[in-house]
Amino acid sequence: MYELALFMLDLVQNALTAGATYIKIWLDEDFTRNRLTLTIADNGCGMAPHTLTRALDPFMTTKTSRRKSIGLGLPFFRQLVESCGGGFKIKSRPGCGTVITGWYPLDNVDQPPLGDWNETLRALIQANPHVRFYCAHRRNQRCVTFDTLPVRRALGPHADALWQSADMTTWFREQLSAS
Amino acid sequence: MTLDELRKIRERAAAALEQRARQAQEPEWKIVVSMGTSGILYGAREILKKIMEEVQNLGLNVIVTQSGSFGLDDIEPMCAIYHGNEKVVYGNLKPDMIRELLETHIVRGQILASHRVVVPGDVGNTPTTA
Ligand SMILES: Nc1ncnc2c1ncn2[C@@H]1O[C@H](COP(=O)(O)OP(=O)(O)O)[C@@H](O)[C@H]1O
Ligand SMILES: [Mg+2]
Repeated sequence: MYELALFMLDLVQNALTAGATYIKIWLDEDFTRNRLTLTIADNGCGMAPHTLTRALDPFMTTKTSRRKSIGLGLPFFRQLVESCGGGFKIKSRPGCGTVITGWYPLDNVDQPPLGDWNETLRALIQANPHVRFYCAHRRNQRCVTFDTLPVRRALGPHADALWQSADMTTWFREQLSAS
Repeated sequence: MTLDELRKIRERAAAALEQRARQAQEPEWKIVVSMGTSGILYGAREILKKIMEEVQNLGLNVIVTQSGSFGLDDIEPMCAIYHGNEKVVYGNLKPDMIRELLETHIVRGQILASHRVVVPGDVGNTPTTA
């Protein structure tokens, strides 16, 4: 994958598949400490220790799809951060959700571009009206956060009907690019 | 405060929403884009964005969402279109054919045969509009 945003999308899909209703996505670009950190936390089903160990094996998946069924997402992300000279951490417990963190130095030449970060978030938010997303993006001293919960509240009983409207696409775009 | 803008969006849409509520509570159509690792590698994000955009352009009452892999990695990107109990799967999608797909399948109620995928196990789940 050629964009960090696509790795993020892949990890968020894992959280959605795990039944998460609340997903936090933190992106921290800290140029003073020369470190990019991506953290994704979800309140999905979590993983038991043996699943967790096997989840990092490139040929493990708990899915039983009809044909090909190899799990690649987690090992792929791990490989990315490690090949960029960084590291990877995962904490998960059944019933308690999962937290995945990856980081790498910002001055490495192997890192992918961020890609279309805000548009990826916007698509995730609009395609999953019943999932609460909390997104934070820090770039040095500037931090922009966005939480979908107050948005749903402000839209009131019409939140579902409006969520994927063109007006909301424009509004989400503006909010997310406030960074 | 930007939440005020949300209230404006709400008010502007009020009439259309009331009409929609009178006709049918829920969208009749649902489109699910396969968003597993291989789908993403083959461009599923652009397909999801394009479907949402064209649904808006065509003014369709459709809910667009995403799911894990459909298990058919070699014909990604894919989506499934649901209408009641009917499900039709399309594969090898490209952003520039999404409008045609929606016009054919949802507006005209026909099958876009060139990209239709018959998933083993989904046989018998064919739409009556075919
Ligand atoms: N956020 C998560 N919550 C619960 N389980 C997860 C999560 N992420 C990954 N897993 C587990 O790890 C397995 C491997 O994930 P992944 O490498 O992305 O492959 P895949 O998504 O194709 O199964 C998944 O099948 C799932 O069981
Ligand atoms: Mg995955």
